[in-house]
Amino acid sequence: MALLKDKLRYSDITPKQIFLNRRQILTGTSAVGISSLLPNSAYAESLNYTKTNYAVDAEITSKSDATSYNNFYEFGTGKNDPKNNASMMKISPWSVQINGLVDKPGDYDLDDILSGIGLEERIYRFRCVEAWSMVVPWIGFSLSKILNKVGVQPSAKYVAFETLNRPSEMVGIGANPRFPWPYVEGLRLDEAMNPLAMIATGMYGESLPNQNGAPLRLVVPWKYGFKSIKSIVRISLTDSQPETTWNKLAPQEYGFYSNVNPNVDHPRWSQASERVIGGSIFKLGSPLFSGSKRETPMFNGYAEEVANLYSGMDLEKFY
Amino acid sequence: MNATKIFNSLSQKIPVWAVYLMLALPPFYLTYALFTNQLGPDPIRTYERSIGEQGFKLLIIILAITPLRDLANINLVKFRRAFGVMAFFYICLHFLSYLILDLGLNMTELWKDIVKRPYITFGMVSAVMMLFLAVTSNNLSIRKLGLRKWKYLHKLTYIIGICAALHYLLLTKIWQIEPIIYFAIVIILLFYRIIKFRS
Repeated sequence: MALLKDKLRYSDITPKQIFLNRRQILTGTSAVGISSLLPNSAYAESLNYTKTNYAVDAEITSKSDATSYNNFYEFGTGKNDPKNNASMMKISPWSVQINGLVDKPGDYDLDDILSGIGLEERIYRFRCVEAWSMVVPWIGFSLSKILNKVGVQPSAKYVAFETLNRPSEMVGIGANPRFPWPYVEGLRLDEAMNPLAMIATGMYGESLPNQNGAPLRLVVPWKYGFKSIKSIVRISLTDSQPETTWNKLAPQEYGFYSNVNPNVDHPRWSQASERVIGGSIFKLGSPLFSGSKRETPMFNGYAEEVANLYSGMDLEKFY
Repeated sequence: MNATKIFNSLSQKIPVWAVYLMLALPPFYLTYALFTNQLGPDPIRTYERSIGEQGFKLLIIILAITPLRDLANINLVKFRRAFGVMAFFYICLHFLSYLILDLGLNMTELWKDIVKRPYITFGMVSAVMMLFLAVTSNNLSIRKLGLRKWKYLHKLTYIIGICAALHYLLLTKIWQIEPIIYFAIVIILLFYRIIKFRS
């Protein structure tokens, strides 16, 4: 009886004042960024973000699959290589050079870029050119927010991006010396300004793991995955179409646009369907053994938002 | 020299059925893992690739049997048929997984793939040739065809090896080291055979 009456309360153990202070210390730490206190961020920091309507109605890929099945050739060409090798990459300090046709060019510290921009969670489909797909809860914001911050000049027509090129921390670079490092990608300015195009700094409620492109990456859900460049160190506004890595390597296979398009096959495989990562080959209601496959929709299901960007264009020519 | 003698006398004691059984284990394990969803994030791709790669490795072993005997005195001739038949079995599973799991038995897609995509063309050509060799891998066929003709037919193994190597080489997004090494091995084995035949 006595026990029930005098239930022990948290305040009995830690006085409220100290308890509040402890909270303050914790929030203070997270504002500095736990990652900045560590040599590298093997450690995921949980993020504050708001939910949005950008949420596809599909089963989300498991976090372990999305963080262990990656193409990030800077860390090796095997699907597991990025997870195994990416912890070597130092992501703090991190600066992004923004230059070209902008009003405020410069080397921006990551915190300066992110300051004042609220984080949102967006659940997007992710379709790799290799005919597999995931559904990923990204955390970030529209790319246009950064572009507006630095002021895009009227003569700018394209945005070029570049990935970190640091062979001492990225074992795949030395292992593949003929690859045209650094990895570069690009978008047309109107594509970049489309609200769907996002910069992600996190996924699954936490900061991005290195193998997924920490500390900031592009996510363009209506294009094949390789367009969504990782670990960005440079953003340039240009008036001519920038070079893109896979286009340089095999121009007949990978175009500048690389929009997800089930009607235009890759020369070596069909793009009409995709293997769903994490799917079992058995699934109730699916035809014979095909539980882990699905038909690929035009623009990866984002036609309503982006088809107007390409009206009048021959998408077989501009693949 | 001594080591090869020991190896040869030991290997002669191994019954051929044991080799069949041993070679049946990897595909059995892989298929079990596929059906129990233990092949990781991309099970179809993993199954297709692993079984195909293992079949290709067996094919290379078959091509290496003669040079191994000539140059290193290692005698594996007794097991050549077992290796060949099992390689065909692996490639059957490779093809079936592509046809059923990847294409969902869509025959139009299959035909489109064969005529449009060189790496699939090479793969199919070598699979069909393997079928001819597999059905003639018995003593009755040797008797019916006559040893000369039969041997001539089974020289197709080299063409199969080259087609399989090209199939693998043309599959990757960039030039990767593994398929290049396998291609080089097949070419070296073929050259050895040509030089031997000429002299």
